Amino acid sequence: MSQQDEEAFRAFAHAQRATLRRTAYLLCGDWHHADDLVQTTLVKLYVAWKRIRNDASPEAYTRRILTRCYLDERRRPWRREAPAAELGDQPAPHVPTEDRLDLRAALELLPLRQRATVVLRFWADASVAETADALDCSEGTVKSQTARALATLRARLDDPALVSKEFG
Amino acid sequence: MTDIKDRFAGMLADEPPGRDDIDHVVGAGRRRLRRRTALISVAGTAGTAAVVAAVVVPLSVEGSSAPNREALITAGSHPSPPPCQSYLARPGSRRALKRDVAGIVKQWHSRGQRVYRLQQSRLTHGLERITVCSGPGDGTTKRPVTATAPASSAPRYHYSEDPQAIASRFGRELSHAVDAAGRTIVYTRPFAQETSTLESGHPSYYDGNVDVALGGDQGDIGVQVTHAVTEQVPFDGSCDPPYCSQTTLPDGSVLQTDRVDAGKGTILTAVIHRPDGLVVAAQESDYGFGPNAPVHTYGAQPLTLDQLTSLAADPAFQF
Repeated sequence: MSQQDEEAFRAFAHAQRATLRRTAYLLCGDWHHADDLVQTTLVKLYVAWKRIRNDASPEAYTRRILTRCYLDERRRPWRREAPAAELGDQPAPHVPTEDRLDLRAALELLPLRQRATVVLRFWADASVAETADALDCSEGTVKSQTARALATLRARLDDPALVSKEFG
Repeated sequence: MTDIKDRFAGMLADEPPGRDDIDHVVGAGRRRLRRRTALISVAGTAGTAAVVAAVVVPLSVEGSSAPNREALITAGSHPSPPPCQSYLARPGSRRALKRDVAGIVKQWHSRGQRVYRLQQSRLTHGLERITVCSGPGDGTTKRPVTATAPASSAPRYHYSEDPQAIASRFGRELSHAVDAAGRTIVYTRPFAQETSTLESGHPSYYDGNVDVALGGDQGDIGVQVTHAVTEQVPFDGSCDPPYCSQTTLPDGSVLQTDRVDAGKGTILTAVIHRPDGLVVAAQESDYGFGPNAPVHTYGAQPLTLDQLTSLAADPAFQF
C-alpha cells in the first residue's frame, strides 16, 4: 500500500473508530468484545483498502465487515451454550436498575440477525438496502426482521410506544 | 413516544475510553497483506520447498513476537518437519490460519511426506489449536493430493453417561476447584456439550469457564475436555520454549504448557494428553471474559501454574 493510501486509511479509521466501536457494542453488549470486533474489522478494511478506497461509501462497506465479523464470531462453537439439566454456579440474577441495562437485556433476547438489523437501521442509520447488503439477505427479510425485533423490544421493555422516528 | 435511537444513546452512556490502536491495526494489516502476497507466490510455484519454507518460517517468528490478536503463535518451525506440529490461533485469525496450514501441507507434500492428519481443537478463551501430523514418506510413492483425515474411520464413540450430566458434573468440579483455590466466582459460563463432532461418530467435547474476582478486576479460568482422535495417541506433538514446554509424566501423560500474549493480557494453558487419548486443557487469563468484566487487566493470574496443572490433571475431568 502506498504512503498516500495508508494515510487515507489512517484518517478514515481514526474518524470512524468511535462510531464503529459504539455500533459494535450495541451488537455484542460488551466493550472488550466491541474493541476486538473493531480491530478485526479495521484490519480487514486495511487489506481491502486499495480496492474500496474510491467507493462512494466506504462507511457502508466497513459496517458490512463489522456486522459479518460479529455474526461469524457468534457462530463459532465456543460461543454456543447448551442447556443442561443441572447447572453449576450461575451469575447473580440480572436486576436492571437503569434504562440502558433494560435495553441491553432486551437486545440480548433478540436473535443475532434481528439484533444486527435494529442496530444497523436505528443506530447506524443504514437504509433497508444497506442493511440487506450487510446481512446478505433480501430487503423484504430486513423489513420483516425489523418488525419482529421491534415487537419483541416493545414487549420486553413494556413500552408500546417504542418507535423509530425514521421508521414511523 | 420513545425513540429507539435515544435509548441506544442512553445505553452508551457508560462508554469507557477506547484504545488508540490504529498503528496496531496497520501493522496487522501489513502482515496480512504480506502473508497473502507470499501465499499467492507459493501457489504459483507449488512444489518448491524452499519458497514455501520462506513463507512458514517468517510466520513463526512474527507470530511469536507480535503481541496482537492477528498473529499466529506457533509451537515452532523445523528445518525438517517433525511428526506433528501444533499451532495456536487467536480469534479472528482463523481464515489466515487455514491458508497457512494449507501452505504447510504443500511444503510437506513437496518433501514426499504425507500429511495424514489435520486436527482442530477449540480451547477456551477463543483460542484454537491446529495440529498437523505427517506420516513417513520416501518421495516415490503416490501422495494424496489433499490432506486426509481418516478420523472418520475411527470407531463410533458411545457415551456411558448422559452427555448433559457430564456437563453438569464438570461445572460442579470446576466451581469446587476454584473455590478450593480461594477464588470468588463472579460469572459462570456453564460447560457446553459441543456437538460439531458427534455426526462423524467422535465424542463431543466440553468446555466451560468462570470469571473470578482479582482485587477490583477479574480473571478467568476455563477447562476443555475432549478425546483426541485416535491417530495421535500417544501424543507426540512438538513444542518449543520459551512460550511452550512439554513434560512426560510418570503415567505416560504428556503435559504441555503454553503462554500466549492475548493483547488484553496473558493466557496460560496447561494441556494434559493422557495415554488413553483424553485431552484436558485448563486455561486462565489475567482478565475477565464475562459480559460484565471490567476493562482492566489485573496483571496476575488467578491460579499458580501448579494449580492450573492440577486442574488439568484432575481425574474428575473425563468422560
